[in-house]
Amino acid sequence: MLGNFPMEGNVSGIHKSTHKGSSVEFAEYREYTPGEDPRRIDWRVLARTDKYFLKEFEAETNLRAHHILDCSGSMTFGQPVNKFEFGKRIISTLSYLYLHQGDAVGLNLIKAKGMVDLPSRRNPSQLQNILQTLGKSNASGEDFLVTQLHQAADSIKSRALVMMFSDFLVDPKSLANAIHHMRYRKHEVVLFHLLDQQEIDFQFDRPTRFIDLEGGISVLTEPTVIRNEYISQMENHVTAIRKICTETQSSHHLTITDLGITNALKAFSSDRSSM
Amino acid sequence: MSFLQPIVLLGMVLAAIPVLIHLLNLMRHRKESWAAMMFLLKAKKSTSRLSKIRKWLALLFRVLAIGSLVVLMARPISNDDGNFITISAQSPEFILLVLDRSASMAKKNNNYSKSHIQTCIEDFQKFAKIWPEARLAVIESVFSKTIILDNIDMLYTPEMRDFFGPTDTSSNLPYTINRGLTWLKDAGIGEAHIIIASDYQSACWDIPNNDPLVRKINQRIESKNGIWQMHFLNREKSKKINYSLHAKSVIQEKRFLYPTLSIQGNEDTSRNLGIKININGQVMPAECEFSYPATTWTPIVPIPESPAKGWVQVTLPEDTNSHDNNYYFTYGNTQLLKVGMLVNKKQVKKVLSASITLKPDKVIIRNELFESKKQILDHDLIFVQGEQNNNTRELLDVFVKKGGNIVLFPDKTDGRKKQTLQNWSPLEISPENNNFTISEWNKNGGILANTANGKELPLSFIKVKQRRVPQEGLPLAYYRDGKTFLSRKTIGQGMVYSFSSMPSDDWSSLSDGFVLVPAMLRILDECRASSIKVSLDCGSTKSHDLTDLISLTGNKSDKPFLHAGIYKKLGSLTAINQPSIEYQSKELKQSELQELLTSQFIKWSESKALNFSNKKTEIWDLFLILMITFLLTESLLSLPFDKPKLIFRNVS
Repeated sequence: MLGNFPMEGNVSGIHKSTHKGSSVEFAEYREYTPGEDPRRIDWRVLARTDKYFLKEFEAETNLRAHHILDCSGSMTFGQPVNKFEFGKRIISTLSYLYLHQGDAVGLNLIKAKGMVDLPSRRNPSQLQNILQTLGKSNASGEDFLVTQLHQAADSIKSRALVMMFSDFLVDPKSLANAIHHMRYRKHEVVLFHLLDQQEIDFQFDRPTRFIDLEGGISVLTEPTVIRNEYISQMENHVTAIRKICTETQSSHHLTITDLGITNALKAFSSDRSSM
Repeated sequence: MSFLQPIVLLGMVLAAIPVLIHLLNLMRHRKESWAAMMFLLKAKKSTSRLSKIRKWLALLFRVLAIGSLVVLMARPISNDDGNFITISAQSPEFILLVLDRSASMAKKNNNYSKSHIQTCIEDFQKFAKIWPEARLAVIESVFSKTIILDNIDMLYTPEMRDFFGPTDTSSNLPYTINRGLTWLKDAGIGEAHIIIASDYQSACWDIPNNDPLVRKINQRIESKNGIWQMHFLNREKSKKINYSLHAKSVIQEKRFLYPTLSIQGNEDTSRNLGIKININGQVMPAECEFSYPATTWTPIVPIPESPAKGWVQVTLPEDTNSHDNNYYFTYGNTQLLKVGMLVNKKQVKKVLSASITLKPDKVIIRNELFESKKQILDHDLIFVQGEQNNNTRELLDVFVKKGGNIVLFPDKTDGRKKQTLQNWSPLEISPENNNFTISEWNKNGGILANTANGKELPLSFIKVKQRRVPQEGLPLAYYRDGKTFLSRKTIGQGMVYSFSSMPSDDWSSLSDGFVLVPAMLRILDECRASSIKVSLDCGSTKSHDLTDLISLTGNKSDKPFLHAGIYKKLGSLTAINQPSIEYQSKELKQSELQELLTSQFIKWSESKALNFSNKKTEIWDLFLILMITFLLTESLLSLPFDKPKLIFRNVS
């Protein structure tokens, strides 16, 4: 559950800081400059080289874990748990875990009407706030993810771990801009790409009228005829998003909701550990 | 193609089931809320035309598969005509087999296993099995009477061998077919299939004489507008070695017989043939040096003093057709040839009489006038020279048509009256010391052929001072200027020889006899050879009249109008042989018949006989294969072109 990039926390924590400090993690040697604390001089190096060197250590601080949940209508798709519910559960779990290791946690809900912003705090009561906010929220309407991601990028004040929970059914180019914006603001970005198994397989055995969960338009088609093309389109889309993540040094987690939260968190945790 | 169960074709409406299911599916579609609409719209928009074609093709193949199943269940049978599909059961009321039982049908096929006639009957049996409801009848070429079969097995019963088995007769197929059609008409038969089983031997069809009859048959079939359909069974042309034997003439000189035998073979080689000569039951081996394609062989056959009358059977080695390997003749017949003289010029009469009386024990000359038909028909040969009155000319015409032979000589007078036997050119007189001479003649056969020891007749020594060239008939000898010296003309069953000059001093040197005598004797031999006392044609009218005869050379049940051989009745012996036309191996081309039989309801099998039968059998297996093919194709079309990529495998 560690951040990959140095964080700017206000208290001591377990994450790398942008500043040097007094942790046990060695950082570098630096020549002594008069006026600095002589206690930090490495006497062993002085004995070997007859020069004054300071031994510096990494500072460790806490991070701001900021969750952004897409509340568009498309997130209500999925059986037995839809993508929105899955997103809420995983955010709740992660919030608990981050708070438990002393990090600050915040939440942004991206809705058609506007964004619900819950600034990050490390107060234990923040968990209650997050759970209440998630509990009251529901998904509906069109998708304004990209627009509001730009707002979120600006509204999150200092470096943070920004975790987005969405199906990302948006134009990859505009999504790329938003992620670049995030990275420009020094945020570490993690994309939880939520998809239902049905969306991937597209297994239908007879003609079906598909009704859009966001706009209400409907399409009558024979899935068997267009299945290959649909899967191809879906693959291209996922590939494009993965490419964006690679370019922006962001993490991309394709999460199938049918597989359960445990598997999703295991994969996330394993991924973070390997970095 | 036609169907045994056409009612099943109503099930063809079932072929619409896939289309109905498709439409019902479209109507009964389910509704699904969907998130990833953007991919759905793109996929639908960019689904290739090929995918749509595949979808419709799959639907089409489903329809075709059901269609094939329905056709399969309707039990289709093939037609070898242009009409691919005939939506009717086509179960005929009668299937009539016109069976050629001529001797040539006894030839065995290339496998030596079955004769043509057996193959034809088997083909007919297969044909009949296609329509088990149809009644069966057979009209064969010997009796030309229709026999209704209770069941197909009757064709194989021993009792019916006389009606369906092989014979030594010839046949007149057009006549038999026409009789069969007449029977169908008289019996009021509706739908009928007429199966023609013949080997297309030219002699059996005799197209030159039967041309009107064949056209009439064609017209009768055409007028029935498909109710009667005629099918020609094709037969496998035998390529195996076969030799046949028949006699041109048989001459008896004291205690010796001199049969002039013609041996024909289809083996392009020279070889010695071991021949058996059976004289009254005593077999004498002989050998003949055969040269392809035909050899004339004259063995010397000694005959015993007792009995005075006897018989001889000459037998060739066994081959693919044993029916044409034998020739039978009798001896001891004292019947004299009756030769008539209608000759005006005395010298000609004298020379001709002297020529033919060289064999006084063979010939009797009658000089009386012919006034009645009966009198003139009681001759074998008549010499005619000079102008005859109308009555005589008419009688001569009847005589020759009935099978008589005439030797014509020209006359000085220009025949103003209508000539029926020959048309003569105007009289030509040669310049002095420059007589007409003969340069070319047929040395290989006929009455001017080389002698038995290979010497030419001295025709080139004949000097002709006056001549009138015969305009009709086949030239047998030519003058140096290309005009005909001697011609032979066939009228009806008889023969007319026409000399262009007379055997008298003022006309030619024919009277010297060195050409005239051998020619006359050979004409006499030809007449004798055709005499019924030496041999009768099997199946001829006269052979039918012979009753209570017992076969000496074959089975006791053999009958002279069906089987060749020596027959005995009391002290009388009769030789029965295959008709001479049966030895003509020339075959009629199918195209020649097709020129006359042009009706669309006359069908020709193009392959071998057995294949023809197969063509008329059920072809449900073809549609089974088609159905499976359609189903497999439909399955292949329903498969995706490419598998989905593995991009979604590594997901959490």
